Amino acid sequence: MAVLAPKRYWLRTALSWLRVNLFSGWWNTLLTLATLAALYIFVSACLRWGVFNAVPLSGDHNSCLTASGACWAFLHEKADLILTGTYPAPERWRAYTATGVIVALILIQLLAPLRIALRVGLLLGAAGVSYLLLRGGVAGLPLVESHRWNGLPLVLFLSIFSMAAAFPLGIVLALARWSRNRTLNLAAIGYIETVRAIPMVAVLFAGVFVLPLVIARGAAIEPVMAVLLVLVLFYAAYFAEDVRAGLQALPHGQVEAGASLGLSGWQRLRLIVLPQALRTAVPGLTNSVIGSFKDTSLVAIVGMHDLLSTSRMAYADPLWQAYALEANIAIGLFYFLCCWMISERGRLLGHPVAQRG
Amino acid sequence: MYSYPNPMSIPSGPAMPEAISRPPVPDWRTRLRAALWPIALFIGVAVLGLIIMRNVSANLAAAGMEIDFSFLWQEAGFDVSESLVPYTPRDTYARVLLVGILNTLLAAAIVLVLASAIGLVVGIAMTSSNWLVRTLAHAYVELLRNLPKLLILIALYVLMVRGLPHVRSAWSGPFGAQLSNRGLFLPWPVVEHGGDLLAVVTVLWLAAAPFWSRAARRQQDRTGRRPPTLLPLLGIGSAILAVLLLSGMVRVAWSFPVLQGFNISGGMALSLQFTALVVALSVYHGGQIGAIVRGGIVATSTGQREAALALGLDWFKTMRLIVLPQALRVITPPLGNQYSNLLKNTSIALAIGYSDLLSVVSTSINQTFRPIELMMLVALFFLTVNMLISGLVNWLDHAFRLKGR
Repeated sequence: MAVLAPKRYWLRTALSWLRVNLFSGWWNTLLTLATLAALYIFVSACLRWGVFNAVPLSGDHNSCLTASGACWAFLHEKADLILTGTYPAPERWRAYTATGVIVALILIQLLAPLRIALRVGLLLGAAGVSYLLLRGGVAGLPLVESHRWNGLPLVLFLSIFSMAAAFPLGIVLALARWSRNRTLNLAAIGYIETVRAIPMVAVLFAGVFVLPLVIARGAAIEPVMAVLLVLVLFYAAYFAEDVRAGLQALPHGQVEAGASLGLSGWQRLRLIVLPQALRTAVPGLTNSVIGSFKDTSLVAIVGMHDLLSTSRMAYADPLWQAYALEANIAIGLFYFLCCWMISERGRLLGHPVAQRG
Repeated sequence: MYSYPNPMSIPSGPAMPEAISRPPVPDWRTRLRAALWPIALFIGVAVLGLIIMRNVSANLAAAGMEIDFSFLWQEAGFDVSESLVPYTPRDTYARVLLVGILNTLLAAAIVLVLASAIGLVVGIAMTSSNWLVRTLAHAYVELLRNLPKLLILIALYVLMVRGLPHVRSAWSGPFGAQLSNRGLFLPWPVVEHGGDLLAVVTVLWLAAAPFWSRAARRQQDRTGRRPPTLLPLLGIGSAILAVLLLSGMVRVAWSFPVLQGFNISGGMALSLQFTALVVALSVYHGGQIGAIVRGGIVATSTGQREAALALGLDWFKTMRLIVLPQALRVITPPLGNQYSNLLKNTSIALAIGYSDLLSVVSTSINQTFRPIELMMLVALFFLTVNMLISGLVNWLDHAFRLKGR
């Protein structure tokens, strides 16, 4: 043992790791080999299609016709269409700027330690600026009808602002459900359970078809705003359930201790109940935020042209018809990265050290 | 020596102050404040409700309409992609809604079975001792957690429409199964005669199963040795089936899909839309159920598994008898939640044109312009089914709960 050469040590560790984790018995060995074989076939096919035989982004249509692999040039050719859809071409910079505003808002909210009031102010400001940019009709910008707000700005606008508004509403609903007051309790339970029982597509239908009947006669509501409103009402029920889980985990002694210190009801809520309950609720809320962000893609079903819908427009072009998979992979990559970042951020938030951030 | 006071003598001592032994009675001010919020809420909701009702009736009156369900008995006039009950465009709206409901339930039932199977495999793979298998299973779950279900569905559907061969050069599988851009065609048994007898025998056989397993349980309690249950049941069932078939009392023929001209006839036809929906949702929910199953397995203590292995049970028996029954207790509530989500998620079928409930409702709204009535029916359906699911889950949760002695 003493003569073991130190440079051989890593080899021994690696071998023993392999033996324990991959080849511990005939069954595991078989499983490993079979999985490796399947993985090799799959990965090599993917690489051949997506890299070696593919036409890169800078390619052109003719080279796509002869190549046997993916045609990434399609994404480059149709980038504007996929990202902004039918937004008028001379005004596209507005759609991109609105996207930039929302992305900047997200980054600032995530990275900068700000006071709550400032955060709310920034959010409202960004909502107003991006709305006016997209809509136009002020400061000499031509008016763009809301059904032409497509693609990335629409996805970000709907998902970010609906979730931002649904969060406080969800907290209120959760507190109502948690409270000992019977009326509040029943109202909250009825609302939350009804909304959670109904599919989101049905709720979106209600927003598009029923909501215009509900508002005053003569007044009109843009479909985008109607969808935004029902998304807020829908997501709030889901957020409320997560917050409620956090509230239920809170020992009741905490509230009583606050009361015995002479704190008022509002102070107890703000200083004792919510900080602890929300922290406990972070994993559940992260899941719901991811789910809501993904589900915002369902607005495509009621005729909002989100990314799924604009990419469909792109591969509806007879010239580029064969490249639907490339577009779907690109959209999938976008959603995967966003959701992955959300879950990483959620993990950080649940971590006690990162609390001050 | 110190003598402890007799507890019985305490009442004769100085009485405790009333205020401590009994909670203070709140004065009218506190009570008013407590009642203020609910009253404000009630008034707010009532006012909102009144405004909505006034607006709706004004809007409907302007269009010369009112809330009225009699349109349900008018002719629908549109066709559906597929139907479990006979349906023609000349049937009523009520009938087409029934078709939609049955299609939704059918898709949900098949997705439920497939997704549970995928979830079980993935969940067990996630806890595997094999690093490669474990990592791949984690990657699968993580990937599906981060992709929208609509994207999976549309990508799969477009891929199937474009990538599958024409009917004439369909891919054929074992037993004459055929996959083409028309859909999936499977061989299907057709009962030629003796169907009633077969149904009666099947019901009797199914009804006998719980009795058999209870008898086996009693035997186990008495002797400590559990007689086999599954194999004899299956054996008896196939023996009865063989007797019925051989004696000619029941005749079953297989109907195979056959290409005739430009179409395939015979067999069981599953449309491309249905196949895409079922595969996409099974894969999507399979990942989520996998994460739940993994949680359940991890929650059972390692000691249980080690004890089972020490008793000489093999891996399969350890899983089936020790780990999974305990995991089931943990996973029942989230699993029920998943099943209700899965039912709701069949509504994305609208994007590819499978005639589920919401898709026929969407067409009906466009034709009749009765969104309020139709959405009320949709909400009623989903609320009812959801209540049934959560009732079932509560009952199972109760049945599986660890019984204290």
